[in-house]
Amino acid sequence: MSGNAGESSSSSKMVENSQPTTTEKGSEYLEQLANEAEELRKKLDQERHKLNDIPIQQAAERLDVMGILGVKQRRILKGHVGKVLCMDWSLDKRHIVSSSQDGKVIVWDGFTTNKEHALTMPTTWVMACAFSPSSQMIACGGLDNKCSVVPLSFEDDIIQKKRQVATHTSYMSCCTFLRSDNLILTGSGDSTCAIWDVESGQLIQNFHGHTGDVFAIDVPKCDTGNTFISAGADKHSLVWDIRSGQCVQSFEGHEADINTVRFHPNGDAFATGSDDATCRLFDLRADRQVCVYEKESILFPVNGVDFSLSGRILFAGYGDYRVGVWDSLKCVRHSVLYGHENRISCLRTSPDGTAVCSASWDCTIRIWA
Amino acid sequence: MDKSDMQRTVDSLRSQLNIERTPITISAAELRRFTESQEDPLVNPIDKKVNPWAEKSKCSML
Repeated sequence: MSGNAGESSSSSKMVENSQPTTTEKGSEYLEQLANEAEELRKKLDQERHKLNDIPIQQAAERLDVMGILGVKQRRILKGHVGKVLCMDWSLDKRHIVSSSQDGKVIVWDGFTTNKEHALTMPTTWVMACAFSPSSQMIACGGLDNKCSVVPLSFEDDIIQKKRQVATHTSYMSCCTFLRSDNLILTGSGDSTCAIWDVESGQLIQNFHGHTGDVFAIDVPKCDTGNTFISAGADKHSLVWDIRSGQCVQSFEGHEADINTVRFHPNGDAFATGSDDATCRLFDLRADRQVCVYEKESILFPVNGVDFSLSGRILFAGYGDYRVGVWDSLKCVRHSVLYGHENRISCLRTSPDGTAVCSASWDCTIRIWA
Repeated sequence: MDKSDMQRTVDSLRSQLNIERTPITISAAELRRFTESQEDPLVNPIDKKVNPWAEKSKCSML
């Protein structure tokens, strides 16, 4: 972040040269602000350090070791002919929506593995898809810079009902409905997040603060607060106040792009996965990173993370085709799930916690339980 | 970063500095308590009969 402060002061100097009188004050002010930001960051670091009293593993010492889980591949969903980039569960705990690099979006019945709906988007690389809370609608988008919604029905050709809700100035990397079918939250390569009204397509609130592409967002399950988290290419995870649009907490630690972020089921912590081949746990109340899930033998990026229902297991989908099963509290890897034949792009636990689903560049989606 | 971005960053950092923080001893113990208090079908496998993902036996007793 100190690099950013330097950058901004140098760019303001360029302005200063071209317009000497009016902007001189402006650039001085900008430099003052940059210095203040730097001071504040130092103080923040000190405050956070004070509360780093024990490693989280110590708090988990008295926990029993997890036994054999019996989790194995139960279903394989075949039908995409391109890399699957994203998937999401319906709250009915059985349907899944997935999107792929060739522009296809498919709605599956996870129990029977049947395809219930399939549509082709006008552009390739559909990087994001989401089920609405009522399961009556899906949202998707990607390289088209847009988020579109499609109501699901068996009567009409559903593509005819497709509507554009959101537009960013760069690709849309992630989207999720916010509490109801009426609001949608998006993250974009334009380094912003935004909330949109589904009905009118109006921008309700935007969120500026990231200094690089946003790759992932998540909303807490027990949705009492008014916050969400986002993360991306600037290696930071930011917590936002939905109403004010202000960044209320920021977390650092990763050494490369953050590709995925998920709240712990209790809502007071969240996990991230990164190109630096680690997952990390951040505690909102301690205001800091509390655990790194890493192994010397793991060298590949993490593209999807999610917790089991109690938060005990952190599942991580890697670029080396494997799903790592981590004990989130003891911070050790418990086991590995093998099956995919190319990198895993996305991973999600089902809403009732009975299964975990992974999407991959091998064109398949697999359900593990 | 322009002036309004920088101003926003400073405002955000100011308020971040003033939030209340909990020692890890306390917050980690609460994470553990939450985990222990929840049923978890992936940690403690559920009965095959009620597991929607378990392979159903092809034959049944009439």
